[in-house]
Amino acid sequence: MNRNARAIYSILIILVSAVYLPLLYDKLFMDEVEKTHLFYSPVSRDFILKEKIVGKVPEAAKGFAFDHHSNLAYLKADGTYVSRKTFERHLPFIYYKNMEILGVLPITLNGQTFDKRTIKAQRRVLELKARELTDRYPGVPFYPLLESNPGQARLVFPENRFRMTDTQMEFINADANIVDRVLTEMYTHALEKKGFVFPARSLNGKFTVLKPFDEGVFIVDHNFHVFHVKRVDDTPLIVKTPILPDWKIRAIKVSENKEKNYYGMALSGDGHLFLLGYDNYGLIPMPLAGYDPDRMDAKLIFNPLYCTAVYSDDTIIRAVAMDKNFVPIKTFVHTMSRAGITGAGKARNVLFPFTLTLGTTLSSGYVTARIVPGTIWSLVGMGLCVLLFTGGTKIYTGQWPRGIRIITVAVTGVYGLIAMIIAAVSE
Amino acid sequence: MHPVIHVDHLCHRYGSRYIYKDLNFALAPGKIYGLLGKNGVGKTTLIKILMGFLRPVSGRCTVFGEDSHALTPAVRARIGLLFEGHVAYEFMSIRQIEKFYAPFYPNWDKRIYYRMVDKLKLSPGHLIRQMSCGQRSQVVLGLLMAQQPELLLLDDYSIGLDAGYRRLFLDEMREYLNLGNRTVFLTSHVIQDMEDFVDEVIFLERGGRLMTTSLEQFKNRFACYRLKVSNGNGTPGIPQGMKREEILSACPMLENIEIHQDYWDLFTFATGRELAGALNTRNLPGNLLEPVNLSLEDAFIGYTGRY
Amino acid sequence: MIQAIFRKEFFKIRLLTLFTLAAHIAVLLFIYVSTRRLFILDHPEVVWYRVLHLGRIHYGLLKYIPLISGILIACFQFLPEMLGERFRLSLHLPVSPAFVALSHLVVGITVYCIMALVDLCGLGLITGLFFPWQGIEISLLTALPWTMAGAGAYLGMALALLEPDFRLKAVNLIIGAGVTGLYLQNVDPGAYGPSLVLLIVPLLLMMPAILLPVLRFRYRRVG
Repeated sequence: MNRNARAIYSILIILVSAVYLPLLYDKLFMDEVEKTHLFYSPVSRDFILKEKIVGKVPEAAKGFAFDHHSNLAYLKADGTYVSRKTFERHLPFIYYKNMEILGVLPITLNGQTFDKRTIKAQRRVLELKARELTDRYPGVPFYPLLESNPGQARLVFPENRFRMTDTQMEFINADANIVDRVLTEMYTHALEKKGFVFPARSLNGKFTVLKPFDEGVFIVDHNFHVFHVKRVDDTPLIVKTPILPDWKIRAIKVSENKEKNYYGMALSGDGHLFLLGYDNYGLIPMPLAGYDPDRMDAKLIFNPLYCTAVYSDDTIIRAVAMDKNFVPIKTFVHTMSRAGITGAGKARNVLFPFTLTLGTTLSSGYVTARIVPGTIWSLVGMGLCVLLFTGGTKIYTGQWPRGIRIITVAVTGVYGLIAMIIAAVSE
Repeated sequence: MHPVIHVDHLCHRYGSRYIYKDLNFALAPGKIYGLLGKNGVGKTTLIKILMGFLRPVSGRCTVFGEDSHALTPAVRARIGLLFEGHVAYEFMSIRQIEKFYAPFYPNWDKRIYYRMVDKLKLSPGHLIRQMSCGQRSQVVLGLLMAQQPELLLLDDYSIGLDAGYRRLFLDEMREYLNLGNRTVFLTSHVIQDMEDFVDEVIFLERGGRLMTTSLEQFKNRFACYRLKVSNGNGTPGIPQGMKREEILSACPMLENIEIHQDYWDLFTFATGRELAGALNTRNLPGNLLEPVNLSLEDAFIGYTGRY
Repeated sequence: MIQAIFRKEFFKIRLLTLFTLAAHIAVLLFIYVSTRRLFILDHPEVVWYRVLHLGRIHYGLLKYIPLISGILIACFQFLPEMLGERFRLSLHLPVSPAFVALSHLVVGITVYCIMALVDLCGLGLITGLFFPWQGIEISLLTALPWTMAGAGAYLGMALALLEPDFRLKAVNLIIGAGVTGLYLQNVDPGAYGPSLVLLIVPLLLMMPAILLPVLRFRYRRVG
């Protein structure tokens, strides 16, 4: 009983240490580096990026740090450092306000001239993050279906919200907090009339009133048919889109834009990303080699000349520059500076054989428990801990420690060492 | 007959400070033992070890044949403990505390408990924390006796009690002990109480030196002799400036010397004649020794010293 | 015999527990009033948007209440036992120390669970008055880790209070704080959902771990 209690106590100490010691170390010694910002420059027709330097700042970078900290680097795809102003001049469609102040606008590129109004109208960013996928964040499956024709400039939330049950599109009246039978039957009947098969697989829309207009929701039915549902003059307007069920559409990121070219992005079941066009709901494939939607965030940056797809996981960022017909022009792959290991990072690997993390990640909004193993260097730390433990025990007690305790320290490194020291004190 | 308590080469220390290095004694069943000793000699430590709340550094202490720090529940049921200060669960009432303990002890007799507490003339719902020290001691004693243990360990039963409650405590204990073959091991700072109560006394001294003797024998054999101090005008007595160690070395039968301004008290187990003879060999007036009557408290102080 | 220990603990902590329970109910009433006020100040659909979509929960006050209750219950139970080392009275009873320790724990955990249940049921009822069941579900999924934090706080505090060695008391407080902290991260409502079952494990480990300070108190306490 005593032995079991002691073992469990040691396990608790190891558990708590494995969670909090690395956290404490990170807070003290590790820098949080955000992802690299990667763009395609219409000026140089090449990629250009901005990132935080990890580790020693090269002399070449320091020379360009006129108006910012030298560890923030602006560099071209070939690795040449540039100044911030040069960087911005390479991206006139992004920094158009500064270009206006500098008197650069209107700008002529590729034989076309662009003023501020044109740039502003044709700029757009569509983004799909891994943690936005339905099964990766704790959303509440309860949505507003906005009136698409509100008769005024500003959109308003309706007095009801809907949820998809196994058999119905069920509306709940907010004032009374009860099911609105009329609306429920109206929309359910309208869906079924169009061939909708319950239960729905996903529901996609932009559920905010802070947008120029409303394009309703896209609902994927049980057989992977995609239905476009709108509320127009308080009646359902439902279109069964021609999107092939073979794509097994997993998610649609809707983003209303005045240009009315694309509804947003669509993600197929096999991980292909598309633009969802207004023209008969046509899917325009994005050529993203190596794209994994469950691990990577994807962004489509539109400007008057090009569309750049940028997608990244924790360490590598990739980009594809495309023309207006989405034909790839150039690709780029870059290992982000945040992937670099500093001295503190190396010491961390030696110190901690593994880390127990409990929390959300870049790719999941759910709190998950993970064991993150160390590297080969962790074996050095584990070995040192074993030596410390056995030697220390022999010196202080005159006896070698028991085998099971040595094994515990060998396997768990510093965490086990702490647990065994506490066990020794308790005895 | 197997001893109820057997202490064998007991050693205990706090850090590097040894309380005892080689303590040995055994207690036979059916007697009342009083543990006496000055403050700091290790009485509390010993009783904690006996009660099983302190594991000795080395050696062995057994109670009913089992290690005191690892008693089985069956043996624990045969032992009644009184903690210093009559510690009890004060948030309970007279009735509630009896109901708490009763299910644990097969020999529990609630009539014994209520015979004790009824004397307090308090309602059964009266909370223990609302009682005086003396009243609480009655409740605790009642609980102890209702358990009907074979061995009672009483750690300073007298603390906080006035003379009346102390007398009541001992009278009740005496009546209870008359009922059967029960053993008591107690400590107290009120020595005179022990005079009519204990059978055997155990003197514990610093470093673990121990003397076990019957109370009767101790009272009969331990004596005090007074010798006046010479005033320097030729009157016989202990010369001024005489050192205590000189007399102790001259008279090895002396247990203790208490020095006063006008006289010295000499304590010994030897006879007056033996002491006088030893003094005479050092040209000290052994014939002027005056015997002094001792109460048990006087004898205890004489044996252990005032400081 | 276990009934006797339950009864003893009941007598010891009943009043203070009642006060704590009353405090819980007061907090819940406050949450009800605040939630109701949200719906008075704004249209319900806007409140639904803020609470369900933006995650601006109406019951944030409840986050640390279970933690405080867990600590208090452990204090109500074990502080009196530590005063004058009264726990020796229970440890001398003719039953195993494990039985004594675990029965005390069962009482404390039961009392705590009753309070947690009051919190969760109250929260569910209040949310149900104003939100559909999705709102109830997300609020309970959000509050459940907080109640687990309270259980961790109770067990951690018990570990610390029962420990006779002050150095190990500090270690036990750190263990309790560490385990409790696992459940109190600032995350979106309902984010703990998939890990809740796994997160029971640390709490389950802490219960038998209580035996160690109790055994040290009983058998191996070195003065």
